Amino acid sequence: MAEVEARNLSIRYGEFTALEKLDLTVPHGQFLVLLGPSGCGKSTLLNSIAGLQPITSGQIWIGGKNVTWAEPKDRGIAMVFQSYALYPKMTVRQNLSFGLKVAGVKAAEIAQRVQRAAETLQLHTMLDRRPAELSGGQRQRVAIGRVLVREAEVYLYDEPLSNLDAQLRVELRREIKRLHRHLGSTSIYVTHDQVEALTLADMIAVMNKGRIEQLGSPEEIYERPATRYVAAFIGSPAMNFIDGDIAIEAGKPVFKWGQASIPLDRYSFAAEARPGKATLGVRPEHIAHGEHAGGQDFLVETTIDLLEPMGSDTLVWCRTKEGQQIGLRVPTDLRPREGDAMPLGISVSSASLFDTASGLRL
Amino acid sequence: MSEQVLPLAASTAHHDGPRPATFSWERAGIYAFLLVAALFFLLPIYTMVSTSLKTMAEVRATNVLMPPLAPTIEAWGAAWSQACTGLDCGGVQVGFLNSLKIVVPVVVLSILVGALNGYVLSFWRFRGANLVFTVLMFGAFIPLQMVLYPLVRLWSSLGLYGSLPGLIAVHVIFGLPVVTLMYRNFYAGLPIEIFKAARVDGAGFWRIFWSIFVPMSAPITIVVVIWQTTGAWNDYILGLTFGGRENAPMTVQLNNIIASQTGERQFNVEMAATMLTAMVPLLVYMVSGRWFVRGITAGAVKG
Repeated sequence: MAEVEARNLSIRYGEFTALEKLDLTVPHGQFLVLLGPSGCGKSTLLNSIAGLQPITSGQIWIGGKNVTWAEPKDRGIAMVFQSYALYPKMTVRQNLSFGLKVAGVKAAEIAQRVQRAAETLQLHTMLDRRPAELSGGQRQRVAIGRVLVREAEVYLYDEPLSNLDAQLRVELRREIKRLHRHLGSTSIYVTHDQVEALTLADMIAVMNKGRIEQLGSPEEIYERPATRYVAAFIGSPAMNFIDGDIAIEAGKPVFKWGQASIPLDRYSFAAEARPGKATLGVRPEHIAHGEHAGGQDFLVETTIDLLEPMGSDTLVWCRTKEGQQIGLRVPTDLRPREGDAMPLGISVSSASLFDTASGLRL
Repeated sequence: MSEQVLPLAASTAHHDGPRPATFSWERAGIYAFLLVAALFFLLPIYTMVSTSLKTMAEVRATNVLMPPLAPTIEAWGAAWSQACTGLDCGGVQVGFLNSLKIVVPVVVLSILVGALNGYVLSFWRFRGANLVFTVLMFGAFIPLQMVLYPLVRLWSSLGLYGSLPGLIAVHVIFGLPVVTLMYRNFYAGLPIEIFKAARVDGAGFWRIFWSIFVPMSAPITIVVVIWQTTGAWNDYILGLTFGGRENAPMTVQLNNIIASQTGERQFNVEMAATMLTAMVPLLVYMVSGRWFVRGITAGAVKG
C-alpha cells in the first residue's frame, strides 16, 4: 500500500514561493494528475515527492513512512521525464537494467524483468539499440520501461508526452492508462494538457501559483469548477463567461444581465444566494440552439460572428447586440453561416456562478 | 520540395536549375586578401623547411628564399641526435622525451580533475557553488608572472621545485580553470533530467559520474586533449622555471641550442630542430582540427 502525502509543504527559492503550505493526499492505487500552466508549481511538487527537489518546510510521506529527507532511491518511486532522460551511451537493455544493477539485483532476475517490461511495451526487438537510433515514441516507451522494471509502488510522470507529436501522444496516453490499471500502483502525473488530465485521472489537482485550486474527480472539476480560474483552464473551447449581478426578486434569486433577468431557481447554490456582482459561466456544449433554444431558462438573440470548422463539428462564435461573445459547438451538417441570426438557449442547472470579485463558486 | 513550382518561376520559365555563377568584385577582393594572408603565413614555414633541407655550404651560397637544390635530411638527423647545448650534444631528442613525460600526465590529470570539477559544478550544486566557480574563473585571468615567484618559494619548501611531479602539478593547476569551464559548460548543456533519472535509479556520486557522464564526455574531452597538449607542449616559462636541468622540455632545449653560439651558426640544424619541436602541436591540429571545432560546438548533445 503506497499512499502519497504532502503535509504543509512549502518551497521557496529566495523571494520566490513555488509552493505555499500545500496539503495533498493521494490514496493507494489512485491516478492523480497535477494540472496547471507552467510556473504553477506542479513540477516542483512532483520533484519534491521524488526527492529531487529540496524543500523549505513540511513533510513528504510515502506508504506511511516519512521520507522527507530520504534519497530518491529509498522512496519506492520510479519516474518518467519529459525529455525521456535516457542514458545516451547505453543500449535500451542497459538503460532498463541500470537501476536494478545499482540496486544489486541478480543478473538472472534483471534479465527476466527487462524481458517482461520489453514485452509489455513491445521493445523486445530494439533492446540492443542506442536511444539515438530510436524515434521519440520509442524513446518514451523505453523511459516507461525503465520505470516498469523497478516495480515501484509509486509512479511519477513529469509531462511525459509533451515532446511527442499529437498522434503518438494519444497512443501512449492510452498505454499509460492501461499500464496503471494493470499495475494498480499509485501514479502522479504532471501535465499542462487538460485532455490528458481528463482522460487519465481518477483525481485532478488544478494548481495555480503554488496552491491547489481544486482537487476532485475529472467530472467534478469539469462540471462543478470551484473557482473561475479552474473553469477557465478546463474545457476547450473555454467556458463562456457573462458578467452581471445577482438580485433577489420576489424572494427568488435572479441573474441580471443588462435588461434581462435570468431566474436562478434551478441553480444549486453552494450557500444561500446573496445579491452582488457575479459571473455566469456556461460551457459551449451546454448552450442550446435551433429548435431547442426556446425550452431553456433563458433565450438570447445573437448573430454569428465567426465560424471555426473542426471536422465533426463547428465552433460558432456569436455576438449579442451588447457585444457579449458566446461560443458553442454545433454539428457541421447544420451548415451555419456568418452573419446569420442565432437564438441561443441557456440553462442554469448545468451552468456555474462565480463571485466576480473573489472568483469563488457560488 | 523540388517539385514545388513557385508562381514566379512559372512566369519566367527560362530560369531553371541552379543559379548561374556570377562574377563580383567583392568576391574577387575577398579571395585576393585570403591568398595574400595565406602566403604571408606560409612564408616562414617555407623558409624553415627549405633551409633545413640544405647543407651549410648551400645555406651560405644561396638566397634564403631559394629552394634547396639537393635536398638532404642530414640537418634533421643532426638536430635530433647531435645538436649541442653547451657541452651536451644529444640533440633535441632529450627534450622531446622530457616534453612527453610532462605532457602525457598533464593531459590525463587535467581531464580527470577538470571533468570531476565540471560535473560537481553542473549537477551537485552545493552552497556557494557559484562563488567557487567565480573564484576559479578569476584564476584563469591571473597573469602567470604574478604567481611565479611565490610558487617557486612554495614549491621549494615542499621539495617539489625542479622535479617532474612539481612541474606537472604547476601545469595542471594553471590549466584547471579553463578545463573546468569547458567541462562545466558541456555538462550544463546536457539535460539535467538524465542526472535526475540516474538518482532515481539509485546511482550515487561516483556511479553517475563514471557510468553516465564520462561516456558522454568524448566531444569535450577531445577539445581538452588538444588544448592541454598544445598548451603544455608549447610552454616555455613554466618548464624553464620549474623543470630544473633534468626536466627541461623541448622548447627550453631548443632555445638553449639556438642561444649557444660556438663557431659558425648551423642555420639548417636550428631550423630542423625548430620544426621538430613544432611537430607535435602541428600534427595535433592537423589530425584533430575538425574534432576540435565539432567538440566546441557539441554543447547540446541530443539524447
